[in-house]
Amino acid sequence: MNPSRLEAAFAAHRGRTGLIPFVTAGYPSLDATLEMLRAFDRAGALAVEVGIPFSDPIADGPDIQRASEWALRERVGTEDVLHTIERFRAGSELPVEVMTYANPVVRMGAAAFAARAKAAGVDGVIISDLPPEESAETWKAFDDAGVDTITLVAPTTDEDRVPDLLRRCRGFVYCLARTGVTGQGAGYSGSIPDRVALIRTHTALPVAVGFGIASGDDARKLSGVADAVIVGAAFIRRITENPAQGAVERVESFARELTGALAG
Amino acid sequence: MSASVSRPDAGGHFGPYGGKFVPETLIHALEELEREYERAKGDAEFQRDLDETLRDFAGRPTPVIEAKRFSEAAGCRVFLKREDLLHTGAHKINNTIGQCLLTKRMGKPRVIAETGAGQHGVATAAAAARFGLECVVYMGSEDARRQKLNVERMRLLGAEVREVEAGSRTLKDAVNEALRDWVTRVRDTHYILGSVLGPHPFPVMVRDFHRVIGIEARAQFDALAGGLPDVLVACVGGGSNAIGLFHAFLGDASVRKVGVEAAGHGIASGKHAARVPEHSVGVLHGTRTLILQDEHGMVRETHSVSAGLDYPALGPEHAWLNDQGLAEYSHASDDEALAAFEALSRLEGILPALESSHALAWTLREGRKLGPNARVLVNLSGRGDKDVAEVLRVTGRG
Ligand SMILES: Cc1ncc(COP(=O)(O)O)c(C=O)c1O
Repeated sequence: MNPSRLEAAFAAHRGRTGLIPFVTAGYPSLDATLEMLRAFDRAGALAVEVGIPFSDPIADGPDIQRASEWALRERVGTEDVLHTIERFRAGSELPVEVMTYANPVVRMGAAAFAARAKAAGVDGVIISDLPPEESAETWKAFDDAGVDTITLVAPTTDEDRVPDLLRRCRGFVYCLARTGVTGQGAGYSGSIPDRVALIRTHTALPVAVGFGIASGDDARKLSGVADAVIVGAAFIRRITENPAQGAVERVESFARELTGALAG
Repeated sequence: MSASVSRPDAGGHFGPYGGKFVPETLIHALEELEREYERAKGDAEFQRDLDETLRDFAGRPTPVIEAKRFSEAAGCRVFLKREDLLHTGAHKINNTIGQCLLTKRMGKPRVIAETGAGQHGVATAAAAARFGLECVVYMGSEDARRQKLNVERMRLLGAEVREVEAGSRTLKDAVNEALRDWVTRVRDTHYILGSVLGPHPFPVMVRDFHRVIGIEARAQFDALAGGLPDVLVACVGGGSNAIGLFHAFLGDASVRKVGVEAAGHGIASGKHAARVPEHSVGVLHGTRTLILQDEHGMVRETHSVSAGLDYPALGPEHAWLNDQGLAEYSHASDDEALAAFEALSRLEGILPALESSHALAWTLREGRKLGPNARVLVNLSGRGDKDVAEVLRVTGRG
């Protein structure tokens, strides 16, 4: 079998810690989202993560909540998000994961969602509130469609649970840097290098670290520890500074700052 | 006998409903809670502490009385289970006492809660004070406006009330915010969920803490009137007071169980909180159940005159009981509930909570069809003092 886009991208970054930026689709508009994805490609990101707006984002802090609410007011639906990724895919091989909550997937039907995502050029999916013990049919649907299911390992995850999480994990492992919601410094962290090392004793998959990483300094600390860092709310804040003007430029320049910090 | 009729699997699934749909960060806390709860159930000391606190602090048992004047208006014999007489004014305290005792066992110093009507918040604040726990209550700012008195009561009881400005500023948004707090401070905090909702083990555990309602009522009804009631009626927000009453009767097929959802301005208006008529399956706040959502899977805003019923998800066990035909679900509108509120107040000298007024409203509407000999046991889940200002406002007298 050919390596997936995600596998190929991690292989190409071997020895360097890559950047995975996150943006909420439709914030401030779907066209802007498309431009941002292109900007991430230019800035040398390893992959991008696209958030599907949801009405009740319990794992998100205020920045991404507000971005979601904005997009929903603009009536951005799951299909619109996938269509935007399809437009991006027409001109780029950068891997794309979508981040969503269980309900939009349940509503569309897991098989339909997975097939449509695959057709749009989506490489991976993260479902924030779907642990591996729930909804076997959903996990299977993504496997059948060939979309990588990325699972999360939390600071509170017991070691004896890690193998169960990794059994469902495809593409890369998402190691949460802290308890809590996106974009907030609060919460318990523990030693990230220890957690990454623990995960690596159980899997050969790449490990990305995210949650609360907000600056070049934060990213640099993980250089050489993780295979990639995931940065979300800090990008959203760059947009929020002035959604109507210069958002794509600010996002691109922040992405370059992060890739620079990781390379430095 | 009766408990086995509706028992979830090991993962907390009632058929296709229930389960544990939460971020990975919370899994450890849910497993810890489940273990601690299982241990506590078999621990004589825990049971003794629980029973004593329910008796001396909360005021259990609550009586069952026949409401003779209300019966005439309804056209059937109406009996009331008086959960309104409990300390803090509603059934909610059965659960908060149980969960505070569990929190102490887990060695956590801090509890959080969501609240709609404010009753669960007040009950949490009171139990937390009694057991020396730090307490934060999340409440939608719209609900805080509707239930000002309860906000002040919580503060007097030593709780911090955090108003939530997101979304529709009601119960759903308060739950979101409580979950965000919990996912952040999970190591020192227990989340006291206020209804038979959320991820496993909450729906089972909260139900068990309210089963005392039905267990008492069954014996009391027999002593008062002989035998079993013909119909049980309870309002259904998440469904905790209803499941608490129904559970002791689930093995009795002869007893109709009617859960009453909030029809708000009417089902056709779209401004309501009745989940059963649309029967749309979704995942919200950690559980798979019937929810109100749009075609994209976005959760809809709900409406009810009663803050405690103004919520888009039905407890998963109720969804299951509905599908199995073991209980039936109906609804009552804002106007019907307001009329029932006034009727019980004038005819029986009891101000009912607006939530409970939905169960009374069903009884007023359906009583004549049941006939004068039918014996209907209504769960009077709470008292209406908290609702006086809102009733005056919506009826144009305030
Ligand atoms: C008096 C009273 N009854 C009923 C409810 C609804 O909750 P549940 O359906 O869980 O009993 C509430 C909620 O706040 C309440 O305060």
